[in-house]
Amino acid sequence: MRREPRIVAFCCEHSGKLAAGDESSSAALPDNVGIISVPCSGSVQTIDILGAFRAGADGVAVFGCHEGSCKHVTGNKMVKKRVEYVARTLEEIGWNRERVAFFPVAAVESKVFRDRLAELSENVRDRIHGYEKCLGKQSESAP
Amino acid sequence: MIVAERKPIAEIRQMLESHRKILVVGCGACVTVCMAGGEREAELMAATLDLVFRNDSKCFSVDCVERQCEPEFLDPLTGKVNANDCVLSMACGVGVQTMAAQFPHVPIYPGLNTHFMGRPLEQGLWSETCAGCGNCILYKTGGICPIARCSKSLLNGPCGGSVNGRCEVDPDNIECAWQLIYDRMKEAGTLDLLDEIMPPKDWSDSAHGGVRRVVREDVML
Amino acid sequence: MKAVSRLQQILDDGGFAVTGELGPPKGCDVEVVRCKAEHLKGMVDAVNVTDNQTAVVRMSSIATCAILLNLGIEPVMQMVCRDRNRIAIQSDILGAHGLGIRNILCLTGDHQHFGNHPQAKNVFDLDSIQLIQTVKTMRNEGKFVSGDDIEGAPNMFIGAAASPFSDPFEFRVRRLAKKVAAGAQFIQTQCVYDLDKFRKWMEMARDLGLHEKTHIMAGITPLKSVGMARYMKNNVAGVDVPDALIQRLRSAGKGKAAEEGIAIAIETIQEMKEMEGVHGAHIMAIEWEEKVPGIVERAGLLPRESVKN
Repeated sequence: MRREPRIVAFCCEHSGKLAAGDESSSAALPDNVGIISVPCSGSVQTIDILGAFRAGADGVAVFGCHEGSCKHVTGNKMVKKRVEYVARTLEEIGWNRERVAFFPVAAVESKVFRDRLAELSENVRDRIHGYEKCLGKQSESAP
Repeated sequence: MIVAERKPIAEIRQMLESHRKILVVGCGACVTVCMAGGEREAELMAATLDLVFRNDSKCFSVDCVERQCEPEFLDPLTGKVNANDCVLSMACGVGVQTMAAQFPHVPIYPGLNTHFMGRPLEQGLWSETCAGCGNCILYKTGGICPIARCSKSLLNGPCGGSVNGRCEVDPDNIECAWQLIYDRMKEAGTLDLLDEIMPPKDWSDSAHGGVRRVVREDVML
Repeated sequence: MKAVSRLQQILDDGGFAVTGELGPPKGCDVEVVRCKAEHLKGMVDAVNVTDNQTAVVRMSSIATCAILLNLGIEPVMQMVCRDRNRIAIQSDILGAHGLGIRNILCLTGDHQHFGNHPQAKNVFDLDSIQLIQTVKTMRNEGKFVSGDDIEGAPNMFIGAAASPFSDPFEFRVRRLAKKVAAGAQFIQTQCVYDLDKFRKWMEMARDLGLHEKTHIMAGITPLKSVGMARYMKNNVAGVDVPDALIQRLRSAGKGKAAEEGIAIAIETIQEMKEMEGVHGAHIMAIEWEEKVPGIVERAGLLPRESVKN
């Protein structure tokens, strides 16, 4: 059985976390997604994103406020640059840059939140399965 | 300060391929300021290398010292260095060589390319400022160095390639040093100094003259 | 001081001198030099030979100058500071003199970034002004830069380039004054298209009395096409092509731009003949040498005066 991609989502508590909903909401998040709540998307450092991959994540999403809406003014702008840095690093090491992404989302945009997660999972899933097919086996990790 | 930049991962990968236990060492001086090889960048490097070598059984550990260019700061690293197969130094070329001299039996790999002596123009942008020519004439050129900042190191510039204050070699990124000098000295009312012909430079005080030393006997033990 | 070359004689005697330019081949074929030289012989007083222009490797200027001498043409050896240190420079000046070369144009040189060997290490041990000073010291004092005596001083007519259209504009004439003070006896300017700006620059030069201390020759490059005009305007530092001129080329009609370009060159030369302080025209018809005879003739510059040696 093919394994589901492990996704880590850093969620700003003003936007992403609220869009994700709580454990009691009717549409629970899939099991392969882990949420890490942060006070601002800008508090997510490059090392945190790489750390997530290092710990076994197949894909990392950062959910922050829309442009101009960051409570800390430039947090979302700064983290976007860090996400781009990680994307380029992934490319440099031969991985698919689409494994990491920043998604702007408002607190009420639950559907957007779920759609973006699904997109990321899809991108990453294809990658894992392609690699496994290549190797003819299931792998713990794949570029 | 000395400004350096992380080497491409592919190059670092090749260096470390045959080793199993790697110690990544950052430096707390210049490379911290230019965000290339400080503690933070050393951590990032180790994390990245973990991903690069994920399917190999390599082991990365990280440390950082005040300055890699002085043996006193490297002594405390001895145990850790000996416990590893090699070191990836995140210091400038000076630090790498000092490490190599201190630990000659362990391969010390450079994680950075050292570029120049310079300063930040804004956060994230560093520019070459001093060429270490050994004979400073900044008082003659309004505090702007033509050796380091003119693409041709002219002493009686500008050349014909100065257009709109930009250097034709790379107009997007290089300002014409002589335009800057002219503007600065015009404002200071010292333009007359530029009418004097600056004679040929004595390059023997620069890197061209051979490997240099500076000595202060009054402080030698 | 007695003139050391035909070019110097004509200028010192108050005549209007004409020089041409020749770019050596990117190879050893001397025939290329001969063919280009054929067009220029008798049409100009001397021919400039470029020195690895635009940092592209070509047959050396000194060798090509020697070939021109063998063809009975007086060369102006261009020498840049990019590729040689003061040791090689002074050595080449001695060698040039030994070969019979008497005119030298002292230039900084285009940065190697522009050429076909951008990874090369550049030199720039001297700049153009220090180079002028070096040649003058060798000639007048019989000494090398180091202060050592030269066993047989070289006698050269020293020239330099000027860039009236580069920045900072207000400083350009002061820098020209530095070149003259260093020893530049003749000046060849970057090609002129904006006559108003050039007149202004000449006025500033005359205000400093430079027209009496040195011979200024205006650079003339005939435009072949609208494309060439636009390229030069946008890509060549120190070349300012007014839009009116580009429009004139366009209006000339299909296939007629080159003819119009030559007409503009001739008109410019005629202007220069009348401009106070301009003592000659330096025609740079690179890779278009065959047009020079026509230009020179229609500008009323023929025959070139014979000079008593």
